[in-house]
Amino acid sequence: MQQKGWGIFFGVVLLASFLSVAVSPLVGWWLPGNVSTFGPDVDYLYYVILGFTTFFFVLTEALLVWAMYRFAWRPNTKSQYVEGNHRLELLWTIVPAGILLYIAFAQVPAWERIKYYKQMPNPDLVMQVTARQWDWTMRYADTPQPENARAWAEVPQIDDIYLPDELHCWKGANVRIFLKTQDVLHSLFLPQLRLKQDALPGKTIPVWFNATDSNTKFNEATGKCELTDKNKEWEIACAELCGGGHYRMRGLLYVHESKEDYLKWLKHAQEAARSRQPEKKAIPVASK
Amino acid sequence: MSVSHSHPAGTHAHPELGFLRKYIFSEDHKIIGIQFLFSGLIFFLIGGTLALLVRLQVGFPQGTIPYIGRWFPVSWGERMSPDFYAMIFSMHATIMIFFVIIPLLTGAFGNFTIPLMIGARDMAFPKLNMMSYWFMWPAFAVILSSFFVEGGAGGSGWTSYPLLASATMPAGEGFHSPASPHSGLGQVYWLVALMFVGISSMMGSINYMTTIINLRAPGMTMFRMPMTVWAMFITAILQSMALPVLTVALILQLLDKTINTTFFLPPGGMAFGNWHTGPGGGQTLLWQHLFWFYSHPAVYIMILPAMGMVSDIISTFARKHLFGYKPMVLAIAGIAGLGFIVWGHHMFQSGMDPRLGTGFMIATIMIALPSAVKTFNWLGTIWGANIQYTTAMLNALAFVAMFVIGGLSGIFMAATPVDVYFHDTYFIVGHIHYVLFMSSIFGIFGGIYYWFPKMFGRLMNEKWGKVHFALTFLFSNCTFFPMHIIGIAGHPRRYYDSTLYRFLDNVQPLNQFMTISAILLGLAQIIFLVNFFWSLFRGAKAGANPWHSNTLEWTAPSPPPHGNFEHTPIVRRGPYEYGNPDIEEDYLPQAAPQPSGIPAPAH
Amino acid sequence: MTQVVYDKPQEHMGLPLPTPKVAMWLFLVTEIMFFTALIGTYIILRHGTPSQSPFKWPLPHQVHLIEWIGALNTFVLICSSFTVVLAHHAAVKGDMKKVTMNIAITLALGAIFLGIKAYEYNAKFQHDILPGHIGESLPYPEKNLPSPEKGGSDKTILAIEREKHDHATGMQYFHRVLVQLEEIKKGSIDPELKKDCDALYDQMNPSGAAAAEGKAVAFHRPSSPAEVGEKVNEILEKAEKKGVALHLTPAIPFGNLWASCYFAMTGFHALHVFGGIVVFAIILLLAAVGRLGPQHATMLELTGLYWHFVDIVWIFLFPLLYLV
Ligand code: HEA
Ligand code: HEA
Ligand code: CUA
Ligand SMILES: [Cu+2]
Repeated sequence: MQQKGWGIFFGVVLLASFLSVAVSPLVGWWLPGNVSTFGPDVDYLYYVILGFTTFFFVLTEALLVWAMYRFAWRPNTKSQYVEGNHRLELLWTIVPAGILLYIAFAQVPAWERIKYYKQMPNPDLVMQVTARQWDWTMRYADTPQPENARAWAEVPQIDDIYLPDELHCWKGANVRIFLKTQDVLHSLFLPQLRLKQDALPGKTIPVWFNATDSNTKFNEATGKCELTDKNKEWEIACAELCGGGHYRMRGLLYVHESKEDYLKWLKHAQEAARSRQPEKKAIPVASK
Repeated sequence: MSVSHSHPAGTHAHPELGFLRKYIFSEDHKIIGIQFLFSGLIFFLIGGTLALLVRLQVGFPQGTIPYIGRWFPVSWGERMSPDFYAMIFSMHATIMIFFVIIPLLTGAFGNFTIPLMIGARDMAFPKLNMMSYWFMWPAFAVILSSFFVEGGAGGSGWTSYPLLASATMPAGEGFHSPASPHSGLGQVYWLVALMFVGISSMMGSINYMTTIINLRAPGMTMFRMPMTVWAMFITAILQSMALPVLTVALILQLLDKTINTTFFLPPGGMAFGNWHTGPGGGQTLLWQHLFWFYSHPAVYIMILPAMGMVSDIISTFARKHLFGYKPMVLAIAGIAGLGFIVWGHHMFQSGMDPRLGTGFMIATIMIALPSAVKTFNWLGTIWGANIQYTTAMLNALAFVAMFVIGGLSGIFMAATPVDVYFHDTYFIVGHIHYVLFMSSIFGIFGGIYYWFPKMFGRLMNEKWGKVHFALTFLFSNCTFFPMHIIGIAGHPRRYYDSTLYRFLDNVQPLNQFMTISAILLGLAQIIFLVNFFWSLFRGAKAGANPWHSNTLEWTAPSPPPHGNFEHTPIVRRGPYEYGNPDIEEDYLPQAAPQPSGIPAPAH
Repeated sequence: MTQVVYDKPQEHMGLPLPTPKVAMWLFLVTEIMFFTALIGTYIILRHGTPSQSPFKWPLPHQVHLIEWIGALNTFVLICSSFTVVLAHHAAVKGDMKKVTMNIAITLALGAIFLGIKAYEYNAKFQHDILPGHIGESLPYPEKNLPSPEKGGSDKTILAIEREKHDHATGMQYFHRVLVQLEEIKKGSIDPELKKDCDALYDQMNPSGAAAAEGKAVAFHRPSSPAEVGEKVNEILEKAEKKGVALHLTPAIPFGNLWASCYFAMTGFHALHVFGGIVVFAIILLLAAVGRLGPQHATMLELTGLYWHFVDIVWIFLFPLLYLV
């Protein structure tokens, strides 16, 4: 019995881990609600892989546990004498091969849609985000669509608006972000948008998304953007080690209901910026 | 290349060497292996203790840490600072990978098993072998002293990406970095230490390859070699081809830090607050390419030897012929080969051209194929077997069970769109520990319990061995499995304090649960320590072949004398002749004379 | 290095090669990977630089590389490879005198190679073509300039931005040149050049010269690093014509990256040459004490192998650095 016990022990531990995954969505330990257009693609692929891997997990571990239980030590018996089996080898080479190829090529369209520069939709809203130790600087043009956006991304204009850690856009807008860093590597991570992109020193990397849901309304009275729903606080995180403050490069995503609402806010923000010192957040000049 | 004069042809008797020559500056591959074993285990304690500090911070980010909090300066509020945290997880990983796993697998077991298992008297170049161990000592010294230099040890993760790691003040201003306090002298030490480790491993790998190619005992054809030797052979090839590239990367970063070359500094330089670096002109991404060109093969360097050892252990205690020997060998070769063209899967989100990402993804996912072959062959081996549940066997089986989990989680991140979400989350930390801790380390434990009698002539205590195994298996799952779940919830890795984020609020309890299990896991290791040293002196005496195993090392006395074999064994068959129905015993050693009645094997 | 001794049957299992030779080949594999990584780095970095003038990769004369010297060095190494082979042949025949002579020649050639390299390095130090020293100001690539129809305002902003940018990256260069000019002021050189230098110096710190005599001067904006760079290059041109060696750091786009690669690649190759020389010295030592015999044939062969490798690496480095 002590021999068969080990099979059971393995079985229990593995079953426990299996169940912990099964129940965790129920307690909210799961993917945060998706609010981007390509999010469903990502989630779908995730579940496809989850399906296959779960199948193979159960298959292999079940076989293992059963074998451990069934073939535990029996005195004065001999094990079967087999050196291998070509049919089986072929079977468990070809079947996984097929599945793996499927998994691999199933990814390609989504990947192209999310990251390929050529396939990014024309932007309704262009902004430029510069990461540095340890905050984000969002730069907005005076209009949502400056012509020659690429050039605008490189050359700051007088009437740009700089906002720390606040990313504003509106529901349904194709947002194009030109991502830069001023010092080390950072990574722009928006969990709800299923979006992540490293900022690479010396490079300007285009990123896009399109939010399918809004969480913000601009309140002209107070001149503040208010969350329409307390649980819809969508955060920006940094996902590439960038020094001591890596963990606190926290930003917020404000998705306005409509373009109008966004423009209202933009106007207000411009006035605020004018009254403020110009050049406040421009690239600092060396003092050495 | 220095070559041993210590044993001329024919003579098997060796002159008695003094203590120093015998145990310290030994040229005997077994002693060198044991030296690697001890230093590796000591560093395992250090790395593990660091890990527990990491866990404490992640589990209880707010407020002072119970008990050990007072060790931290009051200026930090009796808790570790974010920079300190960065330092400990970086050093944790660096130590575990470069000072524990690699030295244990290739250094300790490679050295100990290869000559014994192929029936050689020693390595091809014993002096070189000795040097390869003694080159580890500068590395030990440098990495440990780096904790005490100004700014502390390197804190840019074990990957040490520029510019965080490489940014430095212009020459002549000392090694201060505008990027982080750790990127000063501490980072320089880190680079130097790794260079020494690299040189040591490179010497070792050349020695292993030469030995396996040219010093096999008569009759030991390539396809009669045990899986362990095959794994060590292919691992050595991996090392000899990948390590030089890492060395170059380290050198370039060192130059960037010391004489202001601009390999990783982009054109125009970068601004740190109000201070601006020099002109630059290089490419930051270059480091990641060089580093991962080594470090992805390195992760297979850290698993293949374990796979080999596990195959032998399983076949031995299943008392059954290894299922599909040749496919197993081909699978290892396949993993190694593919391992060289998938490094880009660490860089999907790095700003590398996404089209490259597609190619790397497909190659990466195909690596699951040889791994599948191995997994199913292990299952085939224990199917219809007669399993003896020794501690070694339990650890080997745990390896199989856990490697499947670690490997399957790899598929998620290999899929580029899914990796967009999972990159640099705790999902990866979970993956890391399932493949590194719960595969490689279980493999190592298995190897220790299995070869301990051959190393020291005594058996390890089985009862406590099993207790240690059960606890480790249980607590390591409790510690690392939830990491996948908080990863799915989006918990980024390398975070000093995740409670700042609303979307992570509800996984904090899991963090605490993991921390507690981690401490228990750590304490469980104490059982192993005690058992190890107790058995060293008090363990039951082991005969030449306590496990009734087939491979050559068990024909030598335990522990084998310098020179290993009385007379060179003649190999007559493959290593897995277990449970042959035509003979009395259920095993038939490789060198045993052919019993009457059964025809000699063709291969 | 002596032959390892092992029982016949074991040898029978392995390759029909002496073990040290197998090991040497494997060692060379690691070496090949090492230089592949270095050269690969160089190619990638160089490929990453813009191709359109004036910001393309520095030309040899800009960084004081003299092709024929490099070619000469190549020739020297090839000869040395040849003499090693002769040495090995002699050793097989057992003619130790001939061995010693050839090894001596090889060593000499190796030394000459390093000598020439030292001379080249010296030139680099003379002209201060060192990583992190050279002046660079890299404007934004043209394609990113705002479209003209957007009006002048952008241009002005661009100018401001560029100023800031150069200022930041160029400041260290600015100060370095200033110091060098002060040095030149002290020294006595060709008057015409001196005039230019002083002019530039005053340009760079307006108050400087005049203020020395306590005169009040109309403040004018100090020249930007970019301007300084252009001026310095002009002066150096002149000096070159006159054959005067001025210790002034030139301004070369991507000059620092070039210097980084040049020193890393040639430096590590030189180290390998030095390693070879040490081995040859040991051999000669053996010969001197009369311990060199035919039993060293393999060792000579292996040393030769290594030396050929070092030679081949240079045959890759020379065109990559000097010609293309
Ligand atoms: C021993 C070490 C080891 C091993 C063996 C592996 C094995 C694998 N790893 Fe892992 N990996 C690491 C160590 C290792 N890894 C480390 C340390 C990191 C983090 C580095 C850092 O700090 O950033 C990392 C990171 C890492 C990444 C980068 C994630 C990111 O940063 O975004 C990726 C992405 O592709 C990846 C993939 C894989 C894959 C596909 C395998 C495959 O080899 C797994 C193959 C095995 C199986 C699939 C299971 C058995 C097969 C079957 C049961 C058959 C059926 C299965 C299917 C049909 C799916 N790993
Ligand atoms: C072989 C590799 C290896 C091993 C064995 C381990 C072992 C452990 N690791 Fe490690 N880990 C890595 C490799 C490894 N890790 C890597 C590569 C990273 C990535 C780093 C990066 O991001 O750059 C990482 C990162 C990492 C993190 C993430 C840090 C972050 O991203 O913020 C965490 C957090 O929980 C962690 C925890 C642990 C724990 C609890 C163990 C435990 O298993 C340790 C248990 C063992 C012991 C405790 C030693 C035994 C102790 C004794 C016998 C004495 C008893 C001592 C005391 C009780 C004090 N590791
Ligand atoms: Cu910014 Cu991490
Ligand atoms: Cu990898």
